[in-house]
Amino acid sequence: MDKYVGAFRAGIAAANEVHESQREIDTVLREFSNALERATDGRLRVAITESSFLMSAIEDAVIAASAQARPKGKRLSLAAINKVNGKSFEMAGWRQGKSAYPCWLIFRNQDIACTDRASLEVELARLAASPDVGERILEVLK
Amino acid sequence: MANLDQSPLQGEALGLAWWNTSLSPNAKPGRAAAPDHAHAVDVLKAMIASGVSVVGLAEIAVADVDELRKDPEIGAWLFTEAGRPVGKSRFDTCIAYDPARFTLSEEKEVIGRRGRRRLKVAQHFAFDLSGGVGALHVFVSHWPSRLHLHQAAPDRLVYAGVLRGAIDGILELDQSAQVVLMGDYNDEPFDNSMSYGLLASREREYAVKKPGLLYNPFWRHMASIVHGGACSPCSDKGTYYYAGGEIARWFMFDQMLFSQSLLGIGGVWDLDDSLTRVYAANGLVESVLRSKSIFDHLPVVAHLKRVK
Repeated sequence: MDKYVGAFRAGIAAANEVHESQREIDTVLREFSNALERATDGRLRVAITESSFLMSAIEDAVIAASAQARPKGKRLSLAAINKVNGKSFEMAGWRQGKSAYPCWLIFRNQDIACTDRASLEVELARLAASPDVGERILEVLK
Repeated sequence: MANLDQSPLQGEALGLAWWNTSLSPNAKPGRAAAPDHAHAVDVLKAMIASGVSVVGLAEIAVADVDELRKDPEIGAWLFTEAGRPVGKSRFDTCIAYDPARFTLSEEKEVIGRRGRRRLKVAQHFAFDLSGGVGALHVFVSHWPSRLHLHQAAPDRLVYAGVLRGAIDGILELDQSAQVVLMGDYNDEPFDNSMSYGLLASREREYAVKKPGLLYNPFWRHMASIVHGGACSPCSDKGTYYYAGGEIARWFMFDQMLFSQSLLGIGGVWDLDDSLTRVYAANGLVESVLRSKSIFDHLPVVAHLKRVK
């Protein structure tokens, strides 16, 4: 039965790796949210929410194209939320597979697969610095 | 809703092509001279005459597109923006299409990030077909050469994994989405990136049977002898010629891959395997073999037949 011991250990190690990656992603997103709170005097925070609209015309086309199209998973987005009045806007689409990485950010006509912590941090910084997001932050703060 | 079984468009053909033109590699922009552009125009016009309505192009810049479009027939086609910037680099790909057949509904870029590095994985074009049913998603790719990214480099699997993730994003919404991948992957059909990374099968029957698999018909075009006839499907030598190759000089780097819905079972389009070829006409083979020519890739073509 020794042959199964190795197999079990490999499975457990793989699961631990996924959990560790997910914890890392959660930490990065928490830091991102904290930064938005600091930048807006504690009025806005970031959350992953179920998307209320289709993320792109391409997804729109996929849905429209087929009566069989039934989204299996929820479409998620990275949203900025006003903590006082609940107003929010979707900064980017968000997608993740079962193995944590890559996690996908979808914005400005780009599907970006972040394969590690460094790449996620770089892309979130790029998202935060985009004038579109700045404009929407001002709207939600009103 | 229209009765698809009685579509007057049944039997209609749709030709697709891919060509790494070699006109303007990112490292040597604007290297093409007037005769090179004239040659490229001849090749494109011949492909159009053979029924091709959409062509993915690589190593092409805005100036090349402007030159090609001086020809009235090619000028009637539409080209997406060549050389779209990505960070400090740019995509060297674009897509050209017949506006009488296609309307471009959206274009996106698929980018992989590894640390601070940006991997230009693909450009994603969604087309509406005139008289067609459903969108046609075309992913156009030009992955790094083996000189810049070794055959065994782990990043080759990252390119494939990210592209596969983008396709999964579409197939999760609609398992019957019509998806075509075309590109110069600088990997061959049997390499891990192309087979396991993209989940691309050499077996058409298996790709039809097993959801999620893509079909890569270019497995059969890796023979050293061009053969074909009534009893056997045609096979070609490959698309890329490198005279200094260690164990071979021809490589099958340029390929097109097809989702299940384009293989005729339940879908509107059926890939005609007998017409899925390396395009070796118009003196292009001679150019590719000539060491002083800028051309080093042959195009690939495929034809879909409307079955509903």
